[in-house]
Amino acid sequence: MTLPSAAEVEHADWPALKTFATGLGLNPKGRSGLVRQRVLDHLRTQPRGPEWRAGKAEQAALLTRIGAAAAAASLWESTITLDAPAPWVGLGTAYAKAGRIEEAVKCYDRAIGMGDAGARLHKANALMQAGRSDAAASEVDAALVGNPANVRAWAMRAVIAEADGDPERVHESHAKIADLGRSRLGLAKILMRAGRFDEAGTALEEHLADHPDDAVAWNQRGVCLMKRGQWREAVEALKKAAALRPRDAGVLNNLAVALASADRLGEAMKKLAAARRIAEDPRIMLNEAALFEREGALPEARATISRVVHIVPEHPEAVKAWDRLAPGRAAPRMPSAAPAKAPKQKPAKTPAKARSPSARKSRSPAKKRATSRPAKKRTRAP
Amino acid sequence: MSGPAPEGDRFLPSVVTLEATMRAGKQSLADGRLGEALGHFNAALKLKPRYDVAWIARGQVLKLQGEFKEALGSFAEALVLKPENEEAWIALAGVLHRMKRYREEVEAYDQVLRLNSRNVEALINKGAALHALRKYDDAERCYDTVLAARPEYAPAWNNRGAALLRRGKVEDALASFERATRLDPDLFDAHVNRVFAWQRRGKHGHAVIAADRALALRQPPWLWTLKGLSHLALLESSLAARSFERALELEPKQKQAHEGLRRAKELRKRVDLYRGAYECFGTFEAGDPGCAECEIQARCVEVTR
Repeated sequence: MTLPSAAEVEHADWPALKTFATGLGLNPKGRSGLVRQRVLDHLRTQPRGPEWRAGKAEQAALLTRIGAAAAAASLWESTITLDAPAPWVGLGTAYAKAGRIEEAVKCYDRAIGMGDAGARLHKANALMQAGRSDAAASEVDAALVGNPANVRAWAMRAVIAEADGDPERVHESHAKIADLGRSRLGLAKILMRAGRFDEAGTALEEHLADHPDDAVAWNQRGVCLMKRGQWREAVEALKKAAALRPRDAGVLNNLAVALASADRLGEAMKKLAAARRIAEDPRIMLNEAALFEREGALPEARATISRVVHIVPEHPEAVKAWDRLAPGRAAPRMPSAAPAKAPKQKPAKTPAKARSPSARKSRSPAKKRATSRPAKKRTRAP
Repeated sequence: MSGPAPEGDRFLPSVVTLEATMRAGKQSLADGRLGEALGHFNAALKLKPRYDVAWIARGQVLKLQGEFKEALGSFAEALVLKPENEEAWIALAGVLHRMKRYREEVEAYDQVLRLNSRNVEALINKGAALHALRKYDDAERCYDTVLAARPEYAPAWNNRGAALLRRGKVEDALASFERATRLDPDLFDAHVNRVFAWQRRGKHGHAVIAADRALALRQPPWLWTLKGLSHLALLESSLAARSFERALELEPKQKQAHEGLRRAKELRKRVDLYRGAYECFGTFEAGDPGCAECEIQARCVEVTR
């Protein structure tokens, strides 16, 4: 147990005091004053462990993370030694955050030269930031030559390939990550994007076998099943996702769509209402309007669509629905903001007079006693 | 005409010898070789009879040897040579204290305070001497002067409390001892004085706690006896007997402990309260959360007066 401070013990209430005493292996029974004294005595006699203080490297890492790049860079510089690549990586990251990509790349090169293969990925990141995706890709490939099981490198390769618009390489990278036994979610996403829902479903099933609490995967699986027309299974999958993430409007919307497709309109309406309460998203409102229309509640459908048009006037689906639901009527416009009335000005209070500080007599500092020795004699009462 | 003295011969031979002798004397004194130290300081005084530092050092050795009269003479010589020497006055007063010549001791401290009215050591020792002379008011004034300058000085709080206790101001005395133990939790005298004060107030539960804290620092036999007496008052005959037995182990001829043990054994035939894990037995405080949860509350209330 970490020792509490004396001040904490002095001000602790009774339950806290008992916890301190028990935690320190002391007798927690008795009058509170005595228990407090017992803990304080223990603190006094037990040596405190060495206090941890952030070193320069820790401070620099923190500054890098919070974005004070210049200060971080100067701190990183002060931690550099001849044989440690980590400060060079830190310095490079600070430069990259400051937008000084060339310096960052040089720093990463120094770290790579010292044998830090991980620095290649940092370098690739910096190069990507500078828009040099080819150079970034070759750095990642070089990292993968050294360590083909580097999942982070494969993930970065996928990101670079996606930025380059190369779906084959994206798929290949995610497939490799899946083969390495890490995550199949990325692969499933790519497969779904390619319209290969059967394969995506299999990947998701495998992923969910290892990660049963992954709400995103359950949501993806629900979508995948919907695409395959398996509405009942989709509803089950999406219900699991919604149970794991009850405040996710996207999941609730998907669940509503699945329910509506399974002809459970009442439940679907409830889910959409819940989703709308969380986020007034045009997609959710369009689905809600469609359901109203399907149920013949045209005024409600019109009101919902009018809200969508109000928020996103150029949304083609919303415009089309408006034309269908209210033919010939002009789309609702945003009301022009009424000029705000100027508030009545209150007469300004006269500011309180600044009191001149009373003159303080300067005192000469107390003279230091040349020697102060403890008294030898002490008195005992009787 | 002779040239400059070679390196290493800067002083006259006698001065070099004097310094070496003083150094050797101080080293012997530090090592506890008192006879040797005295020889060195005597030798130094042969080389330079009007050397006040050597007289003081000689006096210190004699005092440690228990030769108070000679020590007194030695310090007096130092003061003849240099009457403004505070160290010599304090040393002189120290010997007078050992000789129980408290009135003269107070005068010696007055001399020091005339030279330096803020000398804490002189003030607190003067207070102790006045305490010994039963001039508790004057003693308290000395401690107050010390505490005005150094409020963190625990022994001054303890001595002030002792003076107050003598004047019957038990509550104020307890507050002073409390301050002393807070400032220096290892101040044995303050814990012991708390035992006396609590016993004076008839609060034997508190007295036992204070005695336990003092006994954790030092275990004189009379303190075990004091603790035993408080246990007796709390009707804890077994604990009382154990305390008296411990006192007798350390000093078999202690009359009070013998008497206490006899009373404890008699009491055990009638009653023997058991405090268990409750160190605070006999200090019941209404409204305290710890007391509210206590399993032996009824008995504690019974013995808390």
